[in-house]
Amino acid sequence: MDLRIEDRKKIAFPRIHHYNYAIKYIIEQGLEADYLLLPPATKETAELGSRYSPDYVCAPFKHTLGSLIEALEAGADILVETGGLCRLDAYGQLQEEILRDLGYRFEFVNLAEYMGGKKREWLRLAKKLSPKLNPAKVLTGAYDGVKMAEYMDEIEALYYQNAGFEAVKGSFRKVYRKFLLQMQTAENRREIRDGYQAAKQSMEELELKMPEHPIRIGVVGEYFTVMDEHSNQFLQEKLVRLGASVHRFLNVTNCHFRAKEPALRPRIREYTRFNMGTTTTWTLSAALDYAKRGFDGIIHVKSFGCTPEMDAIPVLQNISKDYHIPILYLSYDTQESDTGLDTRLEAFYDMLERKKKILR
Amino acid sequence: MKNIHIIGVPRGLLTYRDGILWKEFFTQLGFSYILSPRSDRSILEEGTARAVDETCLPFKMYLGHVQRLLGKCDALFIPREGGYTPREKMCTRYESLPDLIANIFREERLPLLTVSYDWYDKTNEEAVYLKLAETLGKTKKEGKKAYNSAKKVQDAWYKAKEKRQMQKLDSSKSKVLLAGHPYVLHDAYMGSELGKILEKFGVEVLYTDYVNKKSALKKSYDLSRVIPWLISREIIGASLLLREKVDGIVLVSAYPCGPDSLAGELLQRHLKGLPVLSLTLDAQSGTAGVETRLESFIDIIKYQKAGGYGFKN
Repeated sequence: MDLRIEDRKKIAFPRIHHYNYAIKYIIEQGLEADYLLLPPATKETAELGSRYSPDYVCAPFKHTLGSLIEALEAGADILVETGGLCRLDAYGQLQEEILRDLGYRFEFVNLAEYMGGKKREWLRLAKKLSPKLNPAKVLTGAYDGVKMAEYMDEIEALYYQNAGFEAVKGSFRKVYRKFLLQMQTAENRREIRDGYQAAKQSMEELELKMPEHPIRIGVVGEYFTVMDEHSNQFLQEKLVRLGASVHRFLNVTNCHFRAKEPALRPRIREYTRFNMGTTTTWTLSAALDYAKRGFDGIIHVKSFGCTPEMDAIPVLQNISKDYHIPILYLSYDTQESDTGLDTRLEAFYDMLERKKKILR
Repeated sequence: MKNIHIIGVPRGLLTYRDGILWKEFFTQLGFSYILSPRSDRSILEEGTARAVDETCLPFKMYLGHVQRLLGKCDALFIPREGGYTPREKMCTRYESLPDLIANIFREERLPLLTVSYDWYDKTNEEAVYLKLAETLGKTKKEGKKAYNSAKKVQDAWYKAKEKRQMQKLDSSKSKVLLAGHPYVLHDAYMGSELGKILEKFGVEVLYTDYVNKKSALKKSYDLSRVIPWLISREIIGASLLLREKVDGIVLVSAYPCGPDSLAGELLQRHLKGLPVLSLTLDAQSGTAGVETRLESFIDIIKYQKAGGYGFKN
């Protein structure tokens, strides 16, 4: 083991919700390379990103560009950007060009180039990131990393569904924060599992003051903005503090490791015939599910100009009409303050509460 | 799908790309084919009333055209064109188009005809149109015949356009390339005004969609391996092919176009040294503003041509 820390290249990935812990784990334990974990985003991150972004690009571009700039300034040598089924595919190339124009020196790995490609090329990429690659370690590292992501999604869901009714204020947050710290520092499978078990057990033991008819709100919407709390201004936390039980179907576990898009499509057959693109099926099937299960309201979250999610709105409006369920539509760009959001959420929550009382 | 005699096609979006194919295909199969009237302010207003606020201008216009066809036809043709390969697909709006129209016009209950293909389906153009002919109650043979002759007519039409455009390149006048999505460039209420204004100033106007599509597509890979959209690729490729031959490029985009927000920016970064004007169209009611910008752009071109800035390469 050599100790020449400054010689080792550091890999960075844009921030995306809590998944950077899993990415860190895979890169450090699987690829045995160095990962640069960024501190939580601030308002400056988004400002930094939007300063160098094209005019009407979607907000995730700005957030991820801001992250990449901060990573470079923190000393990252290799930047990784991903691809996807929408504009995301074109992020990497433009972000690389913008960063080079700003004068930074770095290696850039654009995963969009590898998507749908052969296994051989992925292996070549892994070798590039980590010359002394141990394939068995990569596999177990990736497996454990995926497990960690699943655990984080599960604990997060528990948190947002119940924290609004905690008997002792802050008790849920305490468990959740401790769990995230354990995931951040986990170095093997055992630590991941122990952290998860402890967190799940503690959360289930916490005392709840559940009202007879709690307000339940389902959150649906665009992949990045709906998950990343710095992009959606801590939407779910705000709802929890208003006293709601908040459910969100869309997370990495449900999108990538569980039922695939074609399996969900039959559920929304009464509204659509085809796959409407990217995350729309998840949005619609989750929304319809909430409506059928008698939720009190739905909040639809997206970044400004997100085409696939914009196309979900007419269908959501029909679901709202058919099932008499109120839907609040939120469209995010990079905002200065969240007072506007607070007011809208309070009004929405009050309306749901009143509706519930009258109907009961 | 019986009792369909008149098929209506909204004059918007990909009608400006594949409209000729559709028209020939349906008339060959023995259906009447009607197009909605040319775009104008009232069509846009009707469309806007139906649309989500922040949708793009061409889609608002498209909804207006759908509205105009209500009650005038037995079925609407709303294709779902997702693209044929992962690097040459369409904006996700085309994947959702039939479902979108069905949901927005749910109360009207007008039957929708569609062709559906997506980049992961591994199909081709002929197969999806044959399927459409089958749903219309025609035999495979009739469908094949109609598709083949429609394809021929469309190819001939584009070839004529390409040829005319090549002739324009020999002109001694200043030449400006309008780069953008065909349904923006040729729409009567959006881009076609631009061409007229430029011609008024004595400039030869060229269009990216009248450049040979295959060679443009191939050329676009010089600039990007990852851009996923077919039409953006055609715009990029055509602009790169013509950059040495024209005096300036106007990038025309409609607010807020998703693909253009990235692909347009990328293209602009690779056109350095050539005068480029980036115009974003919105639902403005007059053309005076655009006219001023085009006029000053032409002044720049003329100045540049006269050796004014001294860095012509």
